[in-house]
Amino acid sequence: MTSTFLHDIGDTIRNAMATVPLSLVGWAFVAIPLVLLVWVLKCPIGDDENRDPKQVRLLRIGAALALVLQIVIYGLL
Amino acid sequence: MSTTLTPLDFVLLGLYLAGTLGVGLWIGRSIRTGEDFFLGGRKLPWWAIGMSLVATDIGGPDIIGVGGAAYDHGMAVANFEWIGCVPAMIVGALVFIPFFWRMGVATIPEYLEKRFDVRVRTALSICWQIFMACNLGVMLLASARMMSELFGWGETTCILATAVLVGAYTIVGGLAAVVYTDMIQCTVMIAGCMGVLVLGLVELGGPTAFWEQLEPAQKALVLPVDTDTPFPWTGILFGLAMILSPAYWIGNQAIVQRSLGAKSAFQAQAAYVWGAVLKSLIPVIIVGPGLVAVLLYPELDQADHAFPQLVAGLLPAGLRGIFLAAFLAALMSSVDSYLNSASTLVAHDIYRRFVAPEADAVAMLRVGRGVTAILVIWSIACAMVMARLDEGIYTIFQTLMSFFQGPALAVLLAGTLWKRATGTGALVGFLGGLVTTVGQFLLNNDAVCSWLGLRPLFQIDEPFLYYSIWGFLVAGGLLVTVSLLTRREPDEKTSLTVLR
Repeated sequence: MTSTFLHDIGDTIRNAMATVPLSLVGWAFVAIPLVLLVWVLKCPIGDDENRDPKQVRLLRIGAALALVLQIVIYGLL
Repeated sequence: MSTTLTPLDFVLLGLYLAGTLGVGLWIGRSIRTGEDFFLGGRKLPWWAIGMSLVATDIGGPDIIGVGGAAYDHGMAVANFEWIGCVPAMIVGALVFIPFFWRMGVATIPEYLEKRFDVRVRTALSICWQIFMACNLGVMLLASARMMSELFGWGETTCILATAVLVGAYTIVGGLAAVVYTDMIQCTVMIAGCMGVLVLGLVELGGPTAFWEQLEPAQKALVLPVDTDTPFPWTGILFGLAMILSPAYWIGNQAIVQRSLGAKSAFQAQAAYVWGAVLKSLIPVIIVGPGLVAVLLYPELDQADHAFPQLVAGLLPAGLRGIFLAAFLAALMSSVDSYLNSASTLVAHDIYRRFVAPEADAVAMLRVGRGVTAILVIWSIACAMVMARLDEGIYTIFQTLMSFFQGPALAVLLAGTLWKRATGTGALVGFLGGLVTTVGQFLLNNDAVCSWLGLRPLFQIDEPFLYYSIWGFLVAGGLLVTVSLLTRREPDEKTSLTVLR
């Protein structure tokens, strides 16, 4: 069984990824919803259409709830 | 592993089926135009759409298959519902969904024509139509096989019963019927699976005892690169969370269509947020029973028997009927959505675009219902043909159908976010990405590799998450290169079709 340059590229990437500690990867899974949470709380929602502030607040709360659940899940497990 | 049903189970099952059919047909009385049929008259509320999103995403085979995967590989399969859904749903809710809603389009390919040109629209639409048409047959067959195993009924009977039942209310009621029946189905599905989980936990001595009995490897969400499961962290993070999940929640017609039928941009956004909150619960009720089965029945010969074994072993008469209703609910909610969305793609992207641009609302309704009826017949025929083939055929079919997700996402992101992307760049990128994923599949196939004397390209089983990464990267690279080499799209075209 021979290899091609595609196999070499794959092997190189695979070996590089295997050196990343799993604990660090675990933190990346927590960091994704965390970064999104900060963005959700700061991002402009519907500013261009003068939307009802109550609707904007509800969207932020709902989105934040979904992301906090993710942070808790990936933080605990 | 046939599950014995009592008259009480049949009564509950019958009530559920009659209720679903009744709601679907009742909604159908108010359908007057194509917009009513394809987009629920743009009057759908957020709470119904959110539950419909979740129900559509979880098919009957998923309940059994995900439970089985948890039995085999542990908690890692829950990533598909958590990091593989929630972040993309939130970004979709706050950025992309209100944008598509305001564009007033009925299909995602329709947006791509506004942004690029008819070639890009047609290429993506045809891919989606082929995917949905084949997937309908696959879903019917996979579900019929499981129904047959659970109920002891013939496979053909199961295919026909499901297709006729789902087809009836989808043809009559369109998207509104799909969304409202999905809502019932979502509730029944959660209740049924929750029942199995709770009884399993009671049998094991409670949640704490259950958790303590699991091995650390069974509780791990993040698995190493060299895991012997299909879920290494690289595939989950880069393939699932960053490519497949956004492609699904932002670009899948069957998913996005129901938010396009919302009453307002806010309702469309709220539906996605509500769906994301519900999604956090789904692994508990689907993955959880698989893990319970590991402890209660560690010697099962097939992992996919985990859920049916729990039903047979734990549920008393009556509750079995509720679980089987939940299973049917999950199955029906996916088939009805794909039927309606495939018909929307054919009616808008082929019929109205190329055959009858002047077709009025009533003609579009007629076409929508006619195409849905044809698709029901097609899916029955497709399921029956696949049933005669080797089982591996339709598994490969499903893998093949997932090939265009990465390239499609590259085109959609470039279209919505990058003003300089051109139609030719998008088309070349999309086709190049498709060639890449198909090429990778071939270079990973045992027969092809042994013929060429090569070792397989990937070292894990079912590397579909990796196909999507490379498909996305190649499509994106080609799209950028060709776009920069071709003439810029006019400002009047991009000013309204690119996010600011």
